[in-house]
Amino acid sequence: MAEKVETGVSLTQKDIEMATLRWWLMSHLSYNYQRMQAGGFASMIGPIMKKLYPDKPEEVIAGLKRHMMFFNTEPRWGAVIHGITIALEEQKAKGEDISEETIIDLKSSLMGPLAGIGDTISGALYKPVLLGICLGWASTGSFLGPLVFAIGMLGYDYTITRLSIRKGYQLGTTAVTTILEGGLFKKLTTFFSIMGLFVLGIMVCKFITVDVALQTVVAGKKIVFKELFDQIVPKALPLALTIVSWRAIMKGYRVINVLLCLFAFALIGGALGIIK
Amino acid sequence: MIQAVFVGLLAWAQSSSNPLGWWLIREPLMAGFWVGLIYGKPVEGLIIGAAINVAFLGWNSTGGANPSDLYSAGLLGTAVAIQSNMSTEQAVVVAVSIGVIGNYAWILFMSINSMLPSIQDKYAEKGDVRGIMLIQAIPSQAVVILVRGVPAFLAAFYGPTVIDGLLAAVPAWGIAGFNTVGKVLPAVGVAMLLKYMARKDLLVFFGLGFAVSAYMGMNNLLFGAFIGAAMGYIYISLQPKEVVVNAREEDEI
Repeated sequence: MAEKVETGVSLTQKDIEMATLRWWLMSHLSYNYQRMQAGGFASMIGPIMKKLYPDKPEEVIAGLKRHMMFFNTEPRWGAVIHGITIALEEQKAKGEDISEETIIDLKSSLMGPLAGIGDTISGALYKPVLLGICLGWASTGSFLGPLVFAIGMLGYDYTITRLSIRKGYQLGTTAVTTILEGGLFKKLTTFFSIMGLFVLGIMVCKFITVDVALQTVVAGKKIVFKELFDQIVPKALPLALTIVSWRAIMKGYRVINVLLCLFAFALIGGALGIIK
Repeated sequence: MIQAVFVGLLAWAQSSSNPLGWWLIREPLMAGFWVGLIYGKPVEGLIIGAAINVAFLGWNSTGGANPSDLYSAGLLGTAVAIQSNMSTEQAVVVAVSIGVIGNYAWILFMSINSMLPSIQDKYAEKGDVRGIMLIQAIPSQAVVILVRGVPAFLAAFYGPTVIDGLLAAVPAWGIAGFNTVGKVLPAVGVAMLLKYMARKDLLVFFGLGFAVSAYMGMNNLLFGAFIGAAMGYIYISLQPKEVVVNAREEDEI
């Protein structure tokens, strides 16, 4: 105990929890083009700087200034950076030889890769799968949809943020190497991709409800094209529209243009009675 | 009037840029429910919101190329549709159109907020942590009220009259086309999602999901998620250690 007093202030569990809560609530409040989440980061770490330097205001000022620099990452998985930064600032305050550049470099070099990981898992995998399931319920008028979605997302958001900060704080820089190079991330994305793609295949049939309306009379016999298609590939039209749109987006066409093309196609097709 | 005010307040809370706004109100599924509640039709609101949401399945929050704004589409799309007694297909078309305009609200929010870091810098110079936090939390809320709340109120109040007038002027074949658009637009949502999820080696699972649903009529997504999770687990378990395989391939070359 005596040793700790000599080497400076130690952060408690509660300090970390409060920092987590501040980041969780405030990260995007003043989100802007100039510095993205910088104000959120400074708000997260400000009180910690004050605690670390109770009677060195100039160190608090230097700390606030270096954490007001441009910062942008995925707020949940990227919070590993916050944990590491807090650990580094604590050691620096205790007199360890950690330069300001080390901290700044660490933040700016990690925010990109972690944003990539976080956006993939949160935005492209976890949320769409949960959303898809909840939309299934909601489209039949079941309140289970919004309820499960709200709990599923809020729970995920806070849990991952909290775990990331804690892990980052406990493990320091080694935490990131584990995440970036370990097989866990790859396995997780493969798992979610398979699950997501399978569900997405079902969504094509469930949510894209357009169908062929065309019918004609040949030699006194009525031909309903929908029945013909259904015998070969049911739901072929929704699948074709999805694949064509997807390929167009992949080829670099802007999504808004793809949207407008579909709009025109459906408007004309519907008005002429070819599709319904 | 009171209802439109509530829609405006909801628009503010929805865009207040924190997890509570994101997950409790932002998604059209959630917004539809709340708007429905305001107009006394929570179930209808939910169903409309869910239909709109499908078109936004691939919407990403990273500020990339989103063709239409998720926030206003769900909230105002439902608010207008529920007052004008639209079909869900018509609601989707109206919502996506509203969202195209709504994209500017996001740009405005980000641009006006760009003045704030410079004020926070001044507080940093003084070592004033509380000042930084206040600037972080308060002024941007006024921006949200301005670029989101007020337009939402106006749209919820005057929108139905305008839309009703437009719909009355459209001939029957136009309405048929309009409804078809609502059935086709979800393809954009799925396609955008496919862009993020698709990996060449795993695309077969998309085909599998489609085939199971198209031929067997199975469209229970929760069941699908369980089957998908099981397949994902089996796939990962069966995979050989990647590092070793890659090393061998390189040796052969």
